[in-house]
Amino acid sequence: MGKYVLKRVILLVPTLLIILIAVFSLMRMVPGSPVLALLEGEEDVTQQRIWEVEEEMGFHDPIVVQFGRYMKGIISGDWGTSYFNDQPVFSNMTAVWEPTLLITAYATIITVVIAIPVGIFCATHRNSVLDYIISTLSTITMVIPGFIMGLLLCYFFGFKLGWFPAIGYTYISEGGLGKALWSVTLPSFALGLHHVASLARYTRSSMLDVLGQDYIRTARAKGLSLRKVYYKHALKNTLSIVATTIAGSIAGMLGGAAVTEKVFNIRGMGTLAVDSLSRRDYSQEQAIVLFMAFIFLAIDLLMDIMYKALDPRIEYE
Amino acid sequence: MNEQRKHMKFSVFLRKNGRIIIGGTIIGIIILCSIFAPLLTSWDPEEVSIAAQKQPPSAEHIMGTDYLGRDIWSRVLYGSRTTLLVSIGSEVFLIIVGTILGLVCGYYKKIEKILMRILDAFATVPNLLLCLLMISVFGAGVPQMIIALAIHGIPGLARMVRNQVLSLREKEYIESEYAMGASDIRTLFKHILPACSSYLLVRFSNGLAGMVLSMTSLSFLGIGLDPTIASWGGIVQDGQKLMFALPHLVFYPALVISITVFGFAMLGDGLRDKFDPRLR
Repeated sequence: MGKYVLKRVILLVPTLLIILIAVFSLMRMVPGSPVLALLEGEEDVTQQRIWEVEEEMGFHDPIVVQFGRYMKGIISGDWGTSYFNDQPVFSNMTAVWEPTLLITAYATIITVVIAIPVGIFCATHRNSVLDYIISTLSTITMVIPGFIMGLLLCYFFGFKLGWFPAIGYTYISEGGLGKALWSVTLPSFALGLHHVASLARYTRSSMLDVLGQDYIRTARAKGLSLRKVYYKHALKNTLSIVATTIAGSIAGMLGGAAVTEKVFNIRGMGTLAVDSLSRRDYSQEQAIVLFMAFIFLAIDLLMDIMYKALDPRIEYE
Repeated sequence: MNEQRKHMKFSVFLRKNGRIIIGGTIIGIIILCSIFAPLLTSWDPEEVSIAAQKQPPSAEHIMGTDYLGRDIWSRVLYGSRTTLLVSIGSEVFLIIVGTILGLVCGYYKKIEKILMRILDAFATVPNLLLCLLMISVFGAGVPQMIIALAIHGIPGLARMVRNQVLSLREKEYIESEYAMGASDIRTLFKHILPACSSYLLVRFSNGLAGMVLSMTSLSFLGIGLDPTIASWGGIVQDGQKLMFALPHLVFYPALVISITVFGFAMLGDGLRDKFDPRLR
């Protein structure tokens, strides 16, 4: 197990390096010098002045040297300075990441807690009336885009019924964790429902796959009750298959945060990413992309390890 | 008797192809509407009219008007052009590039390792964020959007095609092709690509629903297109500001988007069951 984890972590290094190289070179391909954004306040910006500032920021060094400096900065925690407000990009990010991470975590919990039992129920009660109703409902949730789901929830539960706050976010420091969670209930459902539908379907089909295998028939033939076969033998194998797809869902949710945040008027990392784009703040933009990629790789690693722990048959080649 | 058999056959046909028929009809109608948009409305989608601001649906404006007095129905009609063009265009782009990369990876072992690592690295960035990054580098516009939306799906498709190629290469008819002296290129395009085609068709139709979802989400955020160009996400974004007072501004465009995604999803599922039952 320890060896597996080590191997897996070592394999991350080339992936990380490629991401860094890709983001670094993309940022160099951006049209126009980033210096222009810095010099916006100054009058009479001459070619000479631009050259000086570029020299000062090291834009004329060999590209390898620049990349080395960039890498060193990333590792030592200096991710660069925002062109927009001159703050370190990392602290700009930490200022708004609370709602985004909270919504993602909440939505993940909703997804797992609803989808897996529903999927298992549908598999064990295949072709029953409830199975059909659930599969129809899941089709409906899957074809409604996240932002429309958000607007519908916002309109009905936030505005018409007034059960939850329709817009905005209460920081944990302002009203405690309970209030914060309360304020992100609708966004989390808007983000999660789409994934609930797809995960429930996946659980159902994986469970059916497992139930069709020989060892299940053997267990039944030996006289075990259906309940025992389902929950003791089939469930474990189903869960190990399903666990791997959850990482993908979480990545999708983090990426979709921008949409949910816009619908519910919350200032989070997604909004920051969109705003940075419109004000051409590339250093901020690339920091967010890198951060999200790191989170994704970490979750992916965690899920792989969990998969291995749940299913010892898996060998890593 | 004959009559009855005919009837039987028809019902079997319906049951087998029901989803293709429903999905195909919905998509067909929507594509026709977008082509013949000028015939279906007398309003200019960009015409601003202060007098006709924020009207509820009526005989004159069947979906009402928005905060600038623009007719929503004609905006939805014209918006379908950009939305469909970008969604279908980027799915086509995705299939072409993904297939070529997959074929290359399946055939040339040396390139494979490097290429797969690079592609996997790209897949770690969430889709929407990758689009943001691409558009920030290459600027806004329809071609840029097509490429930006396609990139995230390419690694997955390339991997699937590669796996298909690897299993096909072991087949005897490919071996005999080589024995007869055929080149790599000929084998790839004459034998291996056609063998993958039903998989690619299924992948294409299945991907469209997701593409429409991503495309409308991006345009809802106001990213990638000139804001004056009508697009479905953009119409919803405009309506969101007044949603509590005038829900029809959001409701009708949202309904059209959902129906379109539903149509593509039905079509995709139906084609999948028909051409590639293993994937069910």
